[in-house]
Amino acid sequence: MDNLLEVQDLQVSFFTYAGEVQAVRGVGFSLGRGETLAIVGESGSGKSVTSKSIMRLLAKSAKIKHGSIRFEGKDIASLPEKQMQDIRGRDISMIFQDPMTSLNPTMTIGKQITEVLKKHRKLGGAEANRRAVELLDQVGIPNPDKRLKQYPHQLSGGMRQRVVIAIALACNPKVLIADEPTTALDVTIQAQILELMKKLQQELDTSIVLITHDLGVVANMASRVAVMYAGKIVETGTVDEIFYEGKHPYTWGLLASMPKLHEKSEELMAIPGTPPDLSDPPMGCPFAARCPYAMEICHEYMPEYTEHSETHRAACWLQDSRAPRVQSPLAGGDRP
Amino acid sequence: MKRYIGIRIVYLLLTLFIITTATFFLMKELPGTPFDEEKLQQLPQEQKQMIYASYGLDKPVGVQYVNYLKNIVKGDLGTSFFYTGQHVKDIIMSRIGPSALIGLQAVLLGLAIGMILGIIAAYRHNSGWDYATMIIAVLGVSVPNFVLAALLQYFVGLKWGLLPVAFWESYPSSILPSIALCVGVIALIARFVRTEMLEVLEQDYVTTAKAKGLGFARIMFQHVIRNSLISVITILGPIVVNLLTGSLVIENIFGIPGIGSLFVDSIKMNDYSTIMGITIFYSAFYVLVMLIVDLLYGLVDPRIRLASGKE
Amino acid sequence: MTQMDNVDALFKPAAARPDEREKIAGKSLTAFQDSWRRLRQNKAAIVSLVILVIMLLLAIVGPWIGHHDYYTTDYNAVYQKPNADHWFGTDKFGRDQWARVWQGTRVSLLIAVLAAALDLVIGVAYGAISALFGGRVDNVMQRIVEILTGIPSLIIIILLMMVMKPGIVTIMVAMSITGWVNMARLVRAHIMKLKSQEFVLAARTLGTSTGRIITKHLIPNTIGIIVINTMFTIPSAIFTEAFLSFIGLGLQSPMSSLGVLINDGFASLNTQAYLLLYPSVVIVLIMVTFNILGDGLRDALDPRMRK
Repeated sequence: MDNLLEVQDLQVSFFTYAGEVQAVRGVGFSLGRGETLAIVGESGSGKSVTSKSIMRLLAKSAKIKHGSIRFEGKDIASLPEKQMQDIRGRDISMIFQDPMTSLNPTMTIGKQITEVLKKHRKLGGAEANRRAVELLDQVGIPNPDKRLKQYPHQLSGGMRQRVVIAIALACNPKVLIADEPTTALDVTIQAQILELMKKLQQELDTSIVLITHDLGVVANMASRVAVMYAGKIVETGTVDEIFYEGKHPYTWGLLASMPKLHEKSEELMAIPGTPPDLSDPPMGCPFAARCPYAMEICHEYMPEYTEHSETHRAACWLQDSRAPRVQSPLAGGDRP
Repeated sequence: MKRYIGIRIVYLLLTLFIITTATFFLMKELPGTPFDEEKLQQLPQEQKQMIYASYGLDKPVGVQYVNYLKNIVKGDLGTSFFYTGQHVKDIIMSRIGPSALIGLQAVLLGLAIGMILGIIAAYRHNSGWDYATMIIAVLGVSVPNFVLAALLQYFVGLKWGLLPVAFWESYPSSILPSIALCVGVIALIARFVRTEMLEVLEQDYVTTAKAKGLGFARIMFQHVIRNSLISVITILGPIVVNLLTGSLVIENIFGIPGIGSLFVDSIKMNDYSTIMGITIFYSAFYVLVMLIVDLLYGLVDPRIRLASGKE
Repeated sequence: MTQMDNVDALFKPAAARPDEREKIAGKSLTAFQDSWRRLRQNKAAIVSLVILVIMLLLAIVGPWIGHHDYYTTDYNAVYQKPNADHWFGTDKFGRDQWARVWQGTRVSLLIAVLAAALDLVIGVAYGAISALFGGRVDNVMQRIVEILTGIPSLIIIILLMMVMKPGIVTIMVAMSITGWVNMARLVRAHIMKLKSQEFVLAARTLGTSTGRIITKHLIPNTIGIIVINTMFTIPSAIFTEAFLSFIGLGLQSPMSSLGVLINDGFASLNTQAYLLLYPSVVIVLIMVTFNILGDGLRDALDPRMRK
């Protein structure tokens, strides 16, 4: 297979004083070259933990219990830390949510960019500086020479996120993991950053794993989508399949809770309730308690995936032949 | 930045002025005089007047106060009542060496050990190292330094005879007092560095550094420890206070001819001018250290440096 | 799929299970219960609490349960080693050390608690007024605080002790003259922070009266920090008292306090080490337990600060 990154049956737990919390419960997906995969879900669904697992940046209290993460065919879930360091920042990079806190406040922008170049590209001081200026220019920061000597707090949030992107792309990584890269930014800046990421992706042919809860961002950026809920992927497919032919009631709920521009008076739909407590996950489908279509079986057994196309699968009992037919409330070309 | 320093210096002078004034009038309120009352009574009136006059005590309090202020501005702290004829300034200067030696040794030792302990404790959070450091930290702030000094003197000095316990003779005499003095510093620093570093370890920028693929040492030294140690400067104030109070009792216990023991002796002898002199000296030292700490922090932390630069 | 063969019957709409929808693990606790539960888990803090209570009881009843009072001299029984009659021995005047140690503990604790209480009243009032009035009042009050923090407080305490007649009240007042500043700063900073937080703004938007905001939002949220600070003020006041007595400025014999005892004990350290030992152990125990308990309380009351 030509997959750059392949995650199989990933299970991650946090071991807290209150017991084990199963944050990720058997997640699998793959990522092709130059492709953008969006992982969507509400907070606590395990999407960030999944991305941190790929980078092997989990907190000490967290452990990958099971599963494999294959990068270019090599399982990096069990790679020794030393070898993992060579992959981080060079082959797989990461952009974080909050640019206000993800840069070291007492180090110049220049130093923060060059240290990754020195580490992976073995560049000397002058050469690294030159490359840093190039990078800053590439991510659209004016006066890169001057900015190099400045500290993070002298830059605006959007500028800082550009710096973070410059750091992440410094070594032309094959995979870029962007964990809610625009959540902390103003709406106008969000669009700029997304445009920048798209532009750079095309230039560098990088694959992107985009973690977000914002379906607008997904529609704009991604080619494929994985919808996560309570530590599981409940549905995955191409953007069109998810937006137009979504099969899982949770996917419908997510889409319905998204505001639309051109439809004035439509009520926003909220999904009632809260996600289940993952220190004691439910036996059946985790969404059953909040699902308007829940059947008895949903509370008892976890549904298997049903394939709807080569790229489209969903885990929902409604797709079982024995279940009553239910229409998506969004059916009818209701594009957000 | 210049304006900021200017304001700080105005505050500093104001503080010193208030301390000087308070000290002066408190001293005037003191019961008893530094002179031997009985002998003084036997002297003829004229001679009594002469003694008073030689110290300027015959003038109204207001005049004495103004004179005192004038002299201080000139750097003259008056003459000692007890060490007859000696200038307070000269007495203080002659005593500064031993105090400075044990003070410096205690600070350097305390900083070094405290930082190392704090860093290890934070890195090995919830391990034996961590608990041991926390125990040392709690004991260090809890055991009064004079109790510790007495214990050190009793065991190390008297029982085991390892180090000299008293008399300021040679370098080894400074070891025990320095240790007694530095334990409090170790405790303060270790505790502070530990808390600070635990916080830094959870910062997003440390995750960024890891995501860059940097090695352990680079992450630790460039990102974690550096940022954890910057704010140690902010607790240098309490540390100086700790050392000053410590020196009062410890110099006394170990018989060190420093400023601390001079101060305690002057209190016992009612030597007003020396007490006032040392009070002003200590206060000036303290406010100066606080000012330097403030400016230093601005220099080391770019956030503050640039923020105040814009003012 | 074999297990699924007989589940056909389950393919029918389920009754709504609203309880599961909003299920929250664990029962909800009030802030106080929650803090107490966290404090109880902290073994060191609980052990400290127990030791402290024992010391407190001994300080109250200790002087009475021995065979002697703390001030009567007995020149036939000077410098006695600890024995059945004098449990902690006697000093150079033949005074019973057991009674003196607990009497001293009582006095030291009394001074410390009163000084802390005085700091608390002045500091909280000052800080709260400064923060609540804001503007010009705050500005002036803060300038005063700034100057006061620039003064090395121990020096001022020493000078005051020299001027005033030594006694329990004197020590307490001298310590409080500068001691309240720290509390005032903490309380002010905390209230300022609270004032700008959303829940207070929300209450204000809803038309809640200022009085109600103060009693329902600001005070309950400030108590934690006041309690914690007081827990640290007490040991530092105990230290200051002992320190003053040690350099000869505190209470004087035959009065007893931990500082007086340590001072006396130190004088005869070479020959009668036990005279120094008991008051030292007591003062160290009190200081350690207060500090650990203070730490424990801080963790319990403010879990975000937990390390």
